[in-house]
Amino acid sequence: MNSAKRNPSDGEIIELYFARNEEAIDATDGKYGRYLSVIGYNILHEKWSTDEALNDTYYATWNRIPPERPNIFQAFLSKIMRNISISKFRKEHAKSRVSSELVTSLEELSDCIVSEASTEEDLKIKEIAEILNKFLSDIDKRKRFIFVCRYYYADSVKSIAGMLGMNQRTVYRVLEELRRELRERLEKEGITV
Amino acid sequence: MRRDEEARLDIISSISEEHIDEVTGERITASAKFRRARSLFFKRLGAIAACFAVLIPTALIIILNLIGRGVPTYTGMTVSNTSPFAEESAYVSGEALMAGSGAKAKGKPIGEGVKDHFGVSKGQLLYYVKPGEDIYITVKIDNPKNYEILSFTLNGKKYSSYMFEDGSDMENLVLKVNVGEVSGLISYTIDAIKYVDGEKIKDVRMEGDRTVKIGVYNEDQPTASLSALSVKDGVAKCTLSVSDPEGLISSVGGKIYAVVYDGERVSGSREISLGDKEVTFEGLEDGAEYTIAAIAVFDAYDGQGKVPHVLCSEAFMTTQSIRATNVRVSGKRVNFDLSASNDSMTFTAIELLDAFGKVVFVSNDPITAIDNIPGGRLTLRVSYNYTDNGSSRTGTGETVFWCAEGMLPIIGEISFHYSDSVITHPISGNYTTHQATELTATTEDLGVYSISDGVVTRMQHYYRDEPLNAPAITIDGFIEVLDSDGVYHYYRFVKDMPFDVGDEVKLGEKLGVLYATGDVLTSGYNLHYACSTLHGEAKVYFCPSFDTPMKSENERLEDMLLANPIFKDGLTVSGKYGESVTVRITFNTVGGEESVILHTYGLPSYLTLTKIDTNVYDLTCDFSTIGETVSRNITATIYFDYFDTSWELRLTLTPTDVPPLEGGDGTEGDGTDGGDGTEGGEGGEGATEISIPEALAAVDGTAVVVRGRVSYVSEWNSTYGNCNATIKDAEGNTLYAYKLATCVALGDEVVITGLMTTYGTSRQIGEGSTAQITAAHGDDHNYQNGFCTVCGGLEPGEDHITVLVNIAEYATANGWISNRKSSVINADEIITVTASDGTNTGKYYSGDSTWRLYQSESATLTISAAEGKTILAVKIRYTYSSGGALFASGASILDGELLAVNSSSVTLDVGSTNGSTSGIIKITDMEIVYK
Repeated sequence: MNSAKRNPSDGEIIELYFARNEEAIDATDGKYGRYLSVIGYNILHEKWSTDEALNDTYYATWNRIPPERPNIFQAFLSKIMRNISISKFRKEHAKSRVSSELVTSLEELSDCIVSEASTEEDLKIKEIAEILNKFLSDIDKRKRFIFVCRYYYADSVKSIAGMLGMNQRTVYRVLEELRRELRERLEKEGITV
Repeated sequence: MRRDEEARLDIISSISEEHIDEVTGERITASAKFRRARSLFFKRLGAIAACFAVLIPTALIIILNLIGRGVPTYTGMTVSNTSPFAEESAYVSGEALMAGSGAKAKGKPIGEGVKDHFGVSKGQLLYYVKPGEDIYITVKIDNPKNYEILSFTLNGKKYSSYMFEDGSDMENLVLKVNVGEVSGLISYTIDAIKYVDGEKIKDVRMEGDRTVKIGVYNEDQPTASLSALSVKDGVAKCTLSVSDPEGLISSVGGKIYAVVYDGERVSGSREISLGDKEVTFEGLEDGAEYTIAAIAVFDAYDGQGKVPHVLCSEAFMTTQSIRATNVRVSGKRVNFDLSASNDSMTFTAIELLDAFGKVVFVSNDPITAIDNIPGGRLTLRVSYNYTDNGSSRTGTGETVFWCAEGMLPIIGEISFHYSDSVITHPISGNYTTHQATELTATTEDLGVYSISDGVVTRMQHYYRDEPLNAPAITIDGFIEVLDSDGVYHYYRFVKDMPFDVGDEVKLGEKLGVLYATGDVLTSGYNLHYACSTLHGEAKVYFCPSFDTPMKSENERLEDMLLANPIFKDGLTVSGKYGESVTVRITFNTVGGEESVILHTYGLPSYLTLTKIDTNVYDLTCDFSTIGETVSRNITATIYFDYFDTSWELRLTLTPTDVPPLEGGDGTEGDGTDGGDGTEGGEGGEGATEISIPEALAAVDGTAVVVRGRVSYVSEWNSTYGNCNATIKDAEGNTLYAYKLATCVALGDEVVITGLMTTYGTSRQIGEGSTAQITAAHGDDHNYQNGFCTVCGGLEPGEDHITVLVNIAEYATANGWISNRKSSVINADEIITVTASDGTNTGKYYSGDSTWRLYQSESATLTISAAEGKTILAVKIRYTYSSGGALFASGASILDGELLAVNSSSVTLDVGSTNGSTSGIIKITDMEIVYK
């Protein structure tokens, strides 16, 4: 009988990082490479850049562990991948616009979060961020999942629907409701949209 | 990106980690389920599809006959650079407009080799043209009833049928368009195609892709040139000058690389920027052919997609020589191989040179190992004879390597960066920072014994701040310029440390220590930072226990003296000891508080106590800055006194100049006059003391100075240099200071200076405030009813029993399962801790080893003692989400705060401090004292 190769646990992978064993990178790639690529591709919409971002993520992880010892390894990786991808997106698309799920999801938010940012609006941005977090705390878990997947991870509606076993139209409707509720919350807090 | 999109992205990126962590965990699980479900779905779909394969064509025929089949339908657009009606119409799709260039060394041309290395990705576009060219756009319409097409709109401009190219029919509308002279990406979008149906004008059904994109090639492509190519001992150097006047590379997110290519593969590459860049490639094989080149990887809109373009290249041969290869360093021994001699080259000698070019070892034998090598950057130089056209000549081959053994340890690192993390202060065309070492010496017997970083690019010394007018200084020559008149003079070594643009300043990372055999000195740093005030904390370590601070004090540096001398018992004569001083300086800069820890190792690293006597040593720390910034000089004095059975260590830090006033911009004043150093830091604009209620009423952003006694303080975070503290006034009003940058103790009377902010609905002093301790509480407690009236601390008692509960350990010991409720903890046989009922309250989570309680479930935590026992106090360690906090009788109990109980039980509620109704408490530890 063939014995299937077991994926190392997160704890085992982290120990490899602490031992400065380069197999840590391979193990991370084997377990989470595909998952992280999806996050990058949602933002960058380009395989070349996504691969670069993935490599940068592994490099950053190698440099951060140790001393850091993440509690939730996949969340730790996800945040690094997203930040690097967004940084790369900002840099590479400063002049040219490329359609990606990120751009689409940000456009969706245009009817509820700030129409135009300016230097004096920095404080406003911070204030909105606080209200947004409060808003997310107050909504139910499933809605929060949909909101974060769509706007933080830039997941496609189709993908979210698939993950939740819902149809796409329902996801669209939930997102519309969430945007409307967020807009009302912001207006209630004195933020003009 | 547009600015409004940037703003939205910033806001979305601020979603709290709690939400992200929660969703990420579920997202991973859900993704896996989705993939499995999709896989299953497709398997089933395949089976169903086979069944329907026969039925569908029949159904389609029926449906098409039933619906309005004759309505004209737009199906898409195509583009060509010649009229589709010409005899030889050619689509420009994918056609290469610019061929790659490159020198050929051997094997594949470099243009092909770099494609293997950098890869090729297909462009996003289908059509490419040159500026000013005409293109023909063919609008495709499925028009079975041949309705008359009247017009369409392209990029907002209406085109009528008479404007279509000759040969157009009702299914192929051809329009000739000039792309103009602007290069880059252009789009054509079609809309509103009108047709005539009887007497009505109707819209064509739109089903095809409405937009077509065209890349317009720019003739002014990036260029590069290569100069100053030199090749020796397996090292090739050259200068690459890359220009891109139209910014084409950056506009499409491209990159530029310098590469060296061996005919088969790219054996070295590094990213470079525009302009003149000197590049070096090491480790090349002797006698081999290579090509060095500048490569730009980008989509030039020439039809090739995103590919590497060879901007310039030059082939060269590496020289033949005898030199050390395969160098391996182990401790203080180096092993190596000698590249093979041949008939024309004969080995004569091998030398080892230290970091300063001094020969420290010579052998005339072709040895392959050397022992007792010094530390730092070393060079193995092999000399050999060879014949050139019948003439006998000599040559050398050099190999550079490093030996860490014997190098002094890294003893300091600046943990902040100048401005935006990039060195922005240009010196001599490069970017340079430097470190300085002040010497105070009365002896001419001074030498440099070791420098950890072997690359000393300049040795300059100063008398005071004036450079000495001396010839170029070498290590040996340095001694000669020192005064020997027995009077103290101040000299300063300056060692340049070159950095590239984008490097972070890590001053002191490779600090060298200069020894004097007679008197000793200090090492200090030049700090590249503006500062307006100085606050300090001194930690004194007594070696060999470097890792354990014996005493930590936190005082203003204006006149700092450790309140209590530090004693170290049990030192013996002839024992070997050392000492070091760590000074933490907090710079109150325009950009906010910044901290740096300076490790100042004074005196010889280790002292051998040869007799019992009194020693006094001085350290001079030069915390100066360059450019427009402000200087501070601080003198530190360490006293060693031996009293009876122990040594006393006392540290005094005294500024030798005057700090600029607090509240200033850090640029005024030269720090050389105007006071005695004790008054400057006290002043500053708007430094009027107000009461806690007045501070609570002040609007956000108001600078406040508030006095009170510390009623709560969290553990000092030594990494970031802060703690959270609550102060209380005589009326019982409290004010919370978040991330206070001064280490205070429970019961200290302090004056806090900071800015008011609001967290949720709670007012607090924001991050980065500082405190002046006006009366340290120390250990002088005034106990009444079992608690100190000053700090609230519990009075020690012989009958007091303290029980500690660590949730992680308790969960393991009692078999708790993650995400399951475990509502009762039996801390010992006397104390029971109970979480109230609820769906989630009382659940244990192994991810962060916490026991959680939820405000939304009106959770409570009850700690009770067995009959006849009294709980004196409890201390709960917890983290929180959504502003969660524990409350006792309506007052919040912070993480780690001591709560006086004096009862057989106490019940704590879960609430929030920011107005939330969904606060979460995550308990990690509990400490309960009872009797």
